[in-house]
Amino acid sequence: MPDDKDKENYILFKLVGTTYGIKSDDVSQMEMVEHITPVPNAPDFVEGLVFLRGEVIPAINLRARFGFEKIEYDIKTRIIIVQKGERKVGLIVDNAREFVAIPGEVIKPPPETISGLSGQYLQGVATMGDRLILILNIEKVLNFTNIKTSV
Amino acid sequence: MGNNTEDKGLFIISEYLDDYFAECEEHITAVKRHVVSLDPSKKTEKKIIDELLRSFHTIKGLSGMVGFEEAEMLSHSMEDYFKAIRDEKITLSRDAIDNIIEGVKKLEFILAERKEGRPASDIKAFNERLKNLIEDKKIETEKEKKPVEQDTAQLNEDVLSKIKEEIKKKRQIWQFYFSPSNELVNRGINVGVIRTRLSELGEIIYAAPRILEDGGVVFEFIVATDSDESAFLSWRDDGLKWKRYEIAEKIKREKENGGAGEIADSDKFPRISTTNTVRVDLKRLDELMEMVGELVITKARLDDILRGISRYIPEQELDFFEETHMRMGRQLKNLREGIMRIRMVPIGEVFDRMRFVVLDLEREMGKKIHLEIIGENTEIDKLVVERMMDPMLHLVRNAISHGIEKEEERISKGKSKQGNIKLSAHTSGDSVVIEIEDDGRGIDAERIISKAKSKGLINEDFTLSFQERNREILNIICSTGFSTRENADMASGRGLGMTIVKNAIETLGGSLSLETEKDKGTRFIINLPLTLEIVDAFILIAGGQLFAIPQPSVKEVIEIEPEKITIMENNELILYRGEPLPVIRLSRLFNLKENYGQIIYGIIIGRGYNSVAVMVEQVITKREIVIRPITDTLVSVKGIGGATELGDGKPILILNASELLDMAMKR
Repeated sequence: MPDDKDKENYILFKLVGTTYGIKSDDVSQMEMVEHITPVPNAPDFVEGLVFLRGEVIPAINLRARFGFEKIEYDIKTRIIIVQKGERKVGLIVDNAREFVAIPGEVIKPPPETISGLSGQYLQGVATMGDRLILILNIEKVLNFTNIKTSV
Repeated sequence: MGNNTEDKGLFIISEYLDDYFAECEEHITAVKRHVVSLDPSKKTEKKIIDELLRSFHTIKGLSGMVGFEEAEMLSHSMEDYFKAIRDEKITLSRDAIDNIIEGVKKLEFILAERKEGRPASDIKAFNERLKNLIEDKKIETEKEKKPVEQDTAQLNEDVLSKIKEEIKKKRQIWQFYFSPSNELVNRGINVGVIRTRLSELGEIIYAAPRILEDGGVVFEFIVATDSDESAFLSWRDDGLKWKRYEIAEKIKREKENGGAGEIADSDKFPRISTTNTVRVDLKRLDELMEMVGELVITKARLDDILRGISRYIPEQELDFFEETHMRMGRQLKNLREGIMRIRMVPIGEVFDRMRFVVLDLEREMGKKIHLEIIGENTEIDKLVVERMMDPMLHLVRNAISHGIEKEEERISKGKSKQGNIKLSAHTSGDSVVIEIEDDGRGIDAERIISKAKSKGLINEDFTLSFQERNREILNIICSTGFSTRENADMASGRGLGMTIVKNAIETLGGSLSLETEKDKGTRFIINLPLTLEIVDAFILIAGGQLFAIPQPSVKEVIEIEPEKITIMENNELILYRGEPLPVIRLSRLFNLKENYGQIIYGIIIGRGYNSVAVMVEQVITKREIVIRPITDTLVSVKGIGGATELGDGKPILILNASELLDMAMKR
């Protein structure tokens, strides 16, 4: 289908009223939030570990990661498992329901003037009609080093 | 045989390529073992030279088969070189041994390159040099008359007993020989097709490619079948030949070839038999292990259910039920251990590599080293062996480059001229202890500590006991970017090395410790879990959260009455067996809410003066857990070694005792 040549599929989710998109190729699964085991002394945006299909996966609270206030989980809360190489991480978001194809040409680089934590994690901004979708750069969201230090 | 390698390459299917690399590795391991025993000052036994010759001959043949020209060329030259040595046209001097070592290294290197799918490096120059050396000695390159490989390899006991078994079952045993050719390939017949046909015919008991002296290849199969010859008569046109297997003759021949004598020889020069081993991809074993892991979890769930419903079941039925349930538990345990055993290999695999490294470094650094190896038959998980290769390599290199002094220095210190390095391994409970010891200058504690102080890595006003000092030195040399050598040399690498060593060991659930004394030497002690995956663990509660701690790292679980805790400045102490023992609250280490009751539980970890009681709210039970490593940097925090799950889908964090100990000491 030549029309779809420049289109890529995205999973859309909401966080503090804003719509974000992640390339669906980067998403391995999406689940309701069940049990999360907190990990002591981990960074505060790390909610802990979840056990999904035989794997132990770290879960990030994306609100906290982006510097927003955490809220209690409800029935709409979802955990989106993203995969980059060998690495799998869960992102906890307010809700996630949509799956859309976005043509490459509507995605623009993020405006330089955008500020705040979430600005660092953007790949681009897509305009679909009157909707604004912030496209996430998963590598940057996941990039965090917390090396075990002994000295 | 060089000009028809390309054609032969047609027959290669990836299955054989894996076998090829595995077999080459085995031969190279054997070669190294023999090369290490070469000594210019003594007369080398002809048998060793023959063994070496045969190994290179086989590698040559195999390489030709897979069309890997560089390896074929190089092993060919090496074979010729050994022939010249055997025929005493070249003396086995120090130089000659150097050439051999270089050749083995090059061969190993290009094999590794190929394995990784890269083109092989150019070895022509070296090859030419070797050839010239042989030419100079005017070696006649006459072909050997008899083929090195007989029509049938000597079958080992396992295969023979299997054959006898099948004969008892009144099955027919046939030997098939398949000679591949281009014509057959064009008709779609290759060894894979033949193998499938034969396995449909009956059971393939034995299969091996053999190399003929002219460079051709024949695949030999021994098949047990219920069908008679009519079932495969038509295969005659497909490059297959066959004959009935004569067991009496075989056994006789084995005896004639010196059954007893052979055994004595193989005792002396252990050789990896390629016929009585099955190569299994570790991944398949992992899958199997995972399945067993799931079974263990399911069984645990069953335990819980049984506990819940037991009061509703009539006593007699319950007894019967519980008995069966327990038997299942035992069987599960046996199954698990059986799979574990498959994964176990002797640590000698690593030690043998070290022999070669020592030999190589001796040469490079001009130091004489005596290497002592103890406990090379100690078995350990295959994965652990693989992962330990690099760390061991690093420690041995360090020992030689930094530890062992130069000859003059040793003499002036009243030591033997030769440096001594000892590698040892033994099993201790659920762990394997590997020690790397040298009698060199020891780690200069003062220098390291003063350097660490100047870098601000440790406090200026530290006074340390011997043990603390050792621990501190280890911590410092393992911290990133620490190296006391301004010009770190090639062998020992840069400051990052020890960090990587420590991480590699800890990733495997092990620990590293150190003992060093000035001018006496240094000993690194590596403690590794015998098996991975599953351990007995205590399940406990701290800060309202469940944790698990592997039983092997727990010395004892005690009950502590809160009023018996003595507070001393920032420390809490109890009396344990008449000695003061520091206690540390897990809730404080982990910043959890405290919720201790009337009785506090103390989990004693560590050894001797290095012990501590970790205080927790409750110890619930002891049970088997499946360890799942936590590797993501987001959640790798100190004191946590992994996660497990008890059957309810909730991850439970597994405590790492040695890290907890570290945290307790540093607090």
